[in-house]
Amino acid sequence: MKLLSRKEEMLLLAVWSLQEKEGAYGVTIRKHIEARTGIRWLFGAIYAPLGRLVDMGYMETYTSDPLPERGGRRKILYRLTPSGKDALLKVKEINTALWVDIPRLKNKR
Amino acid sequence: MEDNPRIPIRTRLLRSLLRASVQESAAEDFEEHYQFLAGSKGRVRALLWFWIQIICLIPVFFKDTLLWSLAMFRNHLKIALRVIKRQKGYSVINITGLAIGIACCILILLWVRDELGYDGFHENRDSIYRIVSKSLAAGVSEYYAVTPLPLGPALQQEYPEVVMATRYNGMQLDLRLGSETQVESGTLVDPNFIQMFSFGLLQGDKESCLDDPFSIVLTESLAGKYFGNLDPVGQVLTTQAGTDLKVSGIMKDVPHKSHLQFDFLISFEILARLGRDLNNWEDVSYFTYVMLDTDANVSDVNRMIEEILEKYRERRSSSRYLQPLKDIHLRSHFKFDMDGHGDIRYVYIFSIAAALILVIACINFMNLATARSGGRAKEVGIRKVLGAHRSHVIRQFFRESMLLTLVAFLASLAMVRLLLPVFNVLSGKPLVFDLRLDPVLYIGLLGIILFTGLLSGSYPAVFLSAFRPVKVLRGRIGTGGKGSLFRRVLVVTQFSLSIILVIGTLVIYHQIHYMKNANLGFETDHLIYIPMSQEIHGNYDAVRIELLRNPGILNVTAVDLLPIYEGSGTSNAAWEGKSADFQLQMRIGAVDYDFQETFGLKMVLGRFFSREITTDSSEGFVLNDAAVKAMGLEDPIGKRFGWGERQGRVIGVIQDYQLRTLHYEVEPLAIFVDPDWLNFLCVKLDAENVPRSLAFLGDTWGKHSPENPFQFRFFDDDIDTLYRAEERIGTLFRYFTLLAVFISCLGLFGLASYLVEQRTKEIGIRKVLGASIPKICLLLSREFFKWVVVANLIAWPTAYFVTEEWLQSFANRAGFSPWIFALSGVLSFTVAAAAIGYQSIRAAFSNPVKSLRYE
Repeated sequence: MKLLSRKEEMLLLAVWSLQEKEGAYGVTIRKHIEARTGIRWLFGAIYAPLGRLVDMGYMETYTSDPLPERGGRRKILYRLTPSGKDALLKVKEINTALWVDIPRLKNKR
Repeated sequence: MEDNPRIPIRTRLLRSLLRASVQESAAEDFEEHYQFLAGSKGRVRALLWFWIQIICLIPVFFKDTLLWSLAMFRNHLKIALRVIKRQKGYSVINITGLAIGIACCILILLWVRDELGYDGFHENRDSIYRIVSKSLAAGVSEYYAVTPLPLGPALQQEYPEVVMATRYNGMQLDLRLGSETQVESGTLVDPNFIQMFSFGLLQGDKESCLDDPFSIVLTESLAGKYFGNLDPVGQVLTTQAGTDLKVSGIMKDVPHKSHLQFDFLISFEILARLGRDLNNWEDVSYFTYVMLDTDANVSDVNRMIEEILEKYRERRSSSRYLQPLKDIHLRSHFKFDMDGHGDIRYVYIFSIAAALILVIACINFMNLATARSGGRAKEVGIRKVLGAHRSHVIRQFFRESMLLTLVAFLASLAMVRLLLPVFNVLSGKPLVFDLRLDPVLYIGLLGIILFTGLLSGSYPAVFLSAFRPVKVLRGRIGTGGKGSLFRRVLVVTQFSLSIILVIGTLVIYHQIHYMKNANLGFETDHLIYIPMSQEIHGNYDAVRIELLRNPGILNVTAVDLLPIYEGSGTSNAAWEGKSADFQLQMRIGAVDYDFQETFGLKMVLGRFFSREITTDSSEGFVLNDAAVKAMGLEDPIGKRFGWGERQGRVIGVIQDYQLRTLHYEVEPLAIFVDPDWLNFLCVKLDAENVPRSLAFLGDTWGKHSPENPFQFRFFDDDIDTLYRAEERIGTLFRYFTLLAVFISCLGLFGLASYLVEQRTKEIGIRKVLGASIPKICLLLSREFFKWVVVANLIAWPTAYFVTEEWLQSFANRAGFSPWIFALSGVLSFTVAAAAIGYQSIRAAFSNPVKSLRYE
């Protein structure tokens, strides 16, 4: 099984967390990641992996209800598919499995 | 929302640059972030950020679009080349047809550019005008190109709006250097002619070189002819009359794109010195050119001309107006005009012919492409299944037609290079095909390529791209139905166009043939004319008597101007019973007593001049029939008639004979006897022993005038050359028509071969069931012949109306005869039969075993 890259993982997590709240799209995703990690991504750097994730079937797009701040227009939003959630859980599982042997190191920090 | 004008440019730009897959969301995000930045860091920063984003997108955009379109383009190119290779026969037919069509177009384009470019080299071209006149006599408007002699100088003197004015009068002159005499053609002008027009003076002073009335300015080649390598300026040439002319300037040879053609210039002042009255307002046979001030108003100047004529001329029955220089070559339909003008209608005719030929070639392409569509249907189906949009398929077929057009274009360039010398001989123009000389040609050529490529690709693209993949891939291709109806229409159109061109050619040929063989009113067989030298002129009577002693010489006479050629004119004639406000422009000419007999003319009334009646030479006039009609005289004989100094009575009326070419009607004419006026010796020879009579003539000439060469011409030869302009047009048109017919035949041939190929099996079965060979031939060609009949029916009336228009330009018309239509019909059938016949006969003779076995 192919694992997610770090970037993909971060994007998927951001979308997962945003989709329940204000909705996930370029600007919010970028803000979200910046707020959590301090890394400011270029817009261009977001769209390419986002598109790839959609192609891989981890994510899908949908149009929101009409939004007043965009003149009544709909917005294209991202959300995770079940397989996207599965993939994230799998990565997390592997991560925890790998971290199991290293409690002391973790504590020292 | 796209068309909302309130969307700022940057947003639109961004949208068009973004990849389609992210366009929607990304554009919105950019906008939102922009708003955020504008809120937090100010509008300027936000705008800056936005524009930087756009600039950063550009390279990606190019990479995306170019890369992908290039990839598709490569694929399309490859397929197109494969198709060309696989269907060699059709490709050859297509490309040949297109190449011939394009080559014709390029040649015609060159010709048209040349015709339209006349007189464009003069620096003052936009402010130079020629004064012409419209006569108001008797309700019919007649247009003249000539003006009173003093008009030009008077205008220049009295009105500051007229910056310069020059008169112009073409002439033939014998110029002698040492013992060598040659007849040269040049012109009388006013000294400022050289400044007004930009003919380019190589030596001599621009402002003063014609100030001396006895000076002459030569063209480079004329100077070379007389003086070789010597410095010509300051040398002296002598005229036949013994006047010495000093060469004061050398100018460049007159370019062929000038309506004024001359080899030398002499000042008008010389006429005054030789005793001519230059202030005679009634002397009306000169061209006048004026150059106006840049902000002068043409209609104001027209009024001034009227004023000045009011002031100086006693009677007026014509109004003068200005004709712009650029109109002179193509839009002159004046009486008493100089020769060699073009005709805007020929420009139109040839442009239309070029377009028709190109359309015929394009139709070939469309026909063959759609007929062969069966072969391409699967390809289109697959492309569509693999995700091609209809527009992609359309684009593909346009690319294919463009490719073929380009190949054909390259071939046509080679053709033009090869054909241009021949074309130049036919058209009588020194054309060159050099793009560096004429950048406008680029646009023309590009236009031709685009037109051909788009037109010929249009129908195949629309037709083929409409295939439904499901149907096509299941194997059901509808080759019949809609497509074949359209093909029929195309073939009929193509054939109609060809037939129209054929009829046009025949009408032109017919008219030229008619003009060359028309009855001019006088007999021209074995009639020669010789320009008289001074010695012969002085000894005219002795020479005449001496010549008549030879039995081979039937008659001798002399005239001042030959029939067929321009003559002098007067608008000043008066006669008994003439109403005061009536003015008639007449031709006048001096003749000798034997004129009537030598030219074989008949008298309508009265008698011709006679040596026995002494008053004839001083006061006798003979009018032609047209003059009597124009003057409205009931009983002309004995009526007083005359103009200026020359007054007398009418003694006879002679039959109408053609005074000028057959484009013109016979104009009113008055002739009189005056030995001083005579210029040409006309000799009627016996049909037998012409060479011996000519030798005798030469000997007699040599005896009387040893210094001058004996130069004679046959009248018949001259008449042949009169209609050279029409003949040229006719010849050119004939060749273009031939090519057009050839192109349509190519198309028909290709189409027939395809249709026959499609019906191979049907023919096989028919043969097995007992059909005879003629029956099968008939079956195959019947449809085509139906089309040809329809094409003829469409073409005939169209051609009739079009050619009728052209024929209007001739006063003497050959008219339409049924044989023109019959011949074009027969021709179209023969040609169609030739194109189809081979294919159908081959199919009819084919062995049914072979054609039925292949499945």
